Amino acid sequence: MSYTTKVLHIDKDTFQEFEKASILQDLLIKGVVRPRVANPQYLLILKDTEFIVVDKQGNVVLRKTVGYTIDWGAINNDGKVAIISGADLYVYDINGNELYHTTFSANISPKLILGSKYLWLAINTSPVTVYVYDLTDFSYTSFTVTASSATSTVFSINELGDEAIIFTGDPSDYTLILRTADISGVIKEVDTGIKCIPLFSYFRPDLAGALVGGRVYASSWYGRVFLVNHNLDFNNFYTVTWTGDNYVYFVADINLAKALIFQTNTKTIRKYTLDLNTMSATEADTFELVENPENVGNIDNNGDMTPDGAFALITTSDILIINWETKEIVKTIAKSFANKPIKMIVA
Amino acid sequence: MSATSSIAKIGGIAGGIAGEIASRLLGDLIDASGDIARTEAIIRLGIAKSWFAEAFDSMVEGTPNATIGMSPDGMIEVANRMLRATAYFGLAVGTEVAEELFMEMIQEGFSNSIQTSIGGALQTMLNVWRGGIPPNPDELEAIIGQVADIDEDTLALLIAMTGNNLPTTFFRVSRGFDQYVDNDIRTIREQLIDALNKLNRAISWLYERARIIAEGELDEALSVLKEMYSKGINLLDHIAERALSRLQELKTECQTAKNWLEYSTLYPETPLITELEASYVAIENLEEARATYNTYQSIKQTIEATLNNADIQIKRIIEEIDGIIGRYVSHLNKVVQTGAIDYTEIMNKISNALEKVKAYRGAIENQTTPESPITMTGVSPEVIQPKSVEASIEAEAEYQIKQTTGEGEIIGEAEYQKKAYKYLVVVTERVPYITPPTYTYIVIVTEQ
Repeated sequence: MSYTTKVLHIDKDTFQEFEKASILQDLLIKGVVRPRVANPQYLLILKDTEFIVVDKQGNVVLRKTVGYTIDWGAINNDGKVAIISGADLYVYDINGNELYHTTFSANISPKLILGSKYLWLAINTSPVTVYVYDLTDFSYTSFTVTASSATSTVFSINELGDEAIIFTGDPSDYTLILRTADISGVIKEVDTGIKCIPLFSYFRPDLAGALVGGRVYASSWYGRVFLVNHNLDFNNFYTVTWTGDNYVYFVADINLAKALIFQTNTKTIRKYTLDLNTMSATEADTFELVENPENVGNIDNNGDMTPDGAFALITTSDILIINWETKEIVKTIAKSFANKPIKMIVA
Repeated sequence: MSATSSIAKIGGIAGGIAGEIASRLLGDLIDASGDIARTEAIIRLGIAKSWFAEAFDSMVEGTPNATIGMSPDGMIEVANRMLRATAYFGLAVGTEVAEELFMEMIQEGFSNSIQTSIGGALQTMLNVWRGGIPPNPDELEAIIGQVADIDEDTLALLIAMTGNNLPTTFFRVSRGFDQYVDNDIRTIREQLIDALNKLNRAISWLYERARIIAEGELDEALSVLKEMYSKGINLLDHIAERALSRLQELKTECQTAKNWLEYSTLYPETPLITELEASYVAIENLEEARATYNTYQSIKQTIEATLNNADIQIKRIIEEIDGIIGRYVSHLNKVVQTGAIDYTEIMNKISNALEKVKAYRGAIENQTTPESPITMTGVSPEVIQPKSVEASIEAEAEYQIKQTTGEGEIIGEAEYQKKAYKYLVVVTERVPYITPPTYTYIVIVTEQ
């Protein structure tokens, strides 16, 4: 079976579709990630034993086949790619040269993240060990945080990557713990006292604030979303319960002013306006999709949002581009892969 | 009067004037020649030597006095002998020269003594109302030593009033500034040592204790690790021994079954074991041997994993100790860097004052050009100091208080600085707006 991976330009005014790259192969997409910055330059397409880097113009900058199974990966705005496979970490430059490889004593969490200078990752020891790598010489510092698991150790970092907000779930009572940290360790810690194992985060590149969400089982499943600022003030503004293996997902703009909250057991999408100065989150509107949003697991949110918050990407059985203001689905694109987190950038 | 008589009279006057001139010229010449002759005579005959000896000896031969050095009798004797020497030398070289030679000395003595008595009284009175003595040239260094207390214009006047020429002025100003800096640094050294001792006692105790405890913990952890390895190896040996023993038993049992089967084959009339039974024994023992081996492997892996995990724990302890030592060093560095002397203002003041001195010296008819034969150069000295021990302790206390965050925990200096910055961003300023990029296209990936 062969598939064609396509990089598309969607005109934001006419929504006309332009095919910018077409890559034929026999591997399905495992996921698409992007740099977590105001103006991302690359998309990293992850497959089982291959990864592809495309730029904003749709040029295939790098296509690399590797001799191991890719679990997950991350990319920064300089095109440096980090790939994890079990307990192995690989870092490549934009030309595909292997810059670094190491094997940890435990598996690496897919929640790894790259700033322009530092890489943050967590390994599945108890307590969880956080490593912060300097991408220039791969020197590192490490420290531990108590967490229910490495997978639920979520990082929000600034553009350089020398500061972070670390979200974990308490291993005994599963309350959400917020921590500010720099490369040498935790600076401040706040236990929210609210049960939530964090899974996903959207954050500002100046780290003035972050959205974090996750789920927890306490008699029934709870999904929650928090607005957090750098002082670790927080507002748990969205809580929902359900049964079964569902997730609450969200997407937000670069200023954390506009967001969409949605979950995999309902077609309802909730529009929110956020204000980091007052730490308020207001439900502005709701609308319905034809299908439930896809369940893409716990590695990353379903979908993405343009930096200005004008358009959101949500996947159902198709890829949907939604106008945040008008709630209109402005573009529907067919896909063959299912249940995989994907992202978008703007050009 | 006839013309002839008139002419004769005029001629007489003219002759008189000429005679007077000639008399003056010749008279002085004759007098000078006489002086030379007499002087040469008294020198060559040794008379001058004798008279000089008489005059100068008088100054050390007067009757001494324990309080005032020379008794009044002695001083009168000196005056008498000087008077005598003046009179004698007057014979040979004239009274004016002789008075200058000897009586002037006596006059200076009287003059000086009157200056500090009656003259002193007069000076005191006039100086009170119209004092005008400038500083001595030697006092220029001392003036620069007080530069911090003197305004720029007064400083320029004082420098100019010492009367040193410009090269000497610059030299003495430079030396005075060096002395000023030396004095400061001397104070700083004493203050710094004192501050270090006091601050270390007052503030470092926590870090010191943490360091000592950390070192103890490391030693203990290493000891535990060593013991763990030792016990792990012993345990492994024991388990291996047990496993080998059991395998040996199984092998023996198989061998026995084999022997029985061979016997049964040789003596079918009295069989000990059937072939099927022997094969059952073999299979049972094989399975048990596998289970024994797998159990051994499993326990071995568990022990190895436990020991590996212990290695990781040790690394963490070392990282913690590194962190503590780092904070300790950071604290000590901060003690040293609590303040700095800045000489820029002082140097600017001196420099400007010197410009004015140059202007004074170049003044001609209400105009001046500040020209200098020499230029001040050099490197501004940078000296670190605590402003004072008390100020440092106060600053440190404030720092410690500020370190205590709302959560009550103590954090390090670097974190505090970050915290202060973050506090500014989050609380005292509105969260800044990040300008999103402009774009025409949304770039997405699909697969079909």
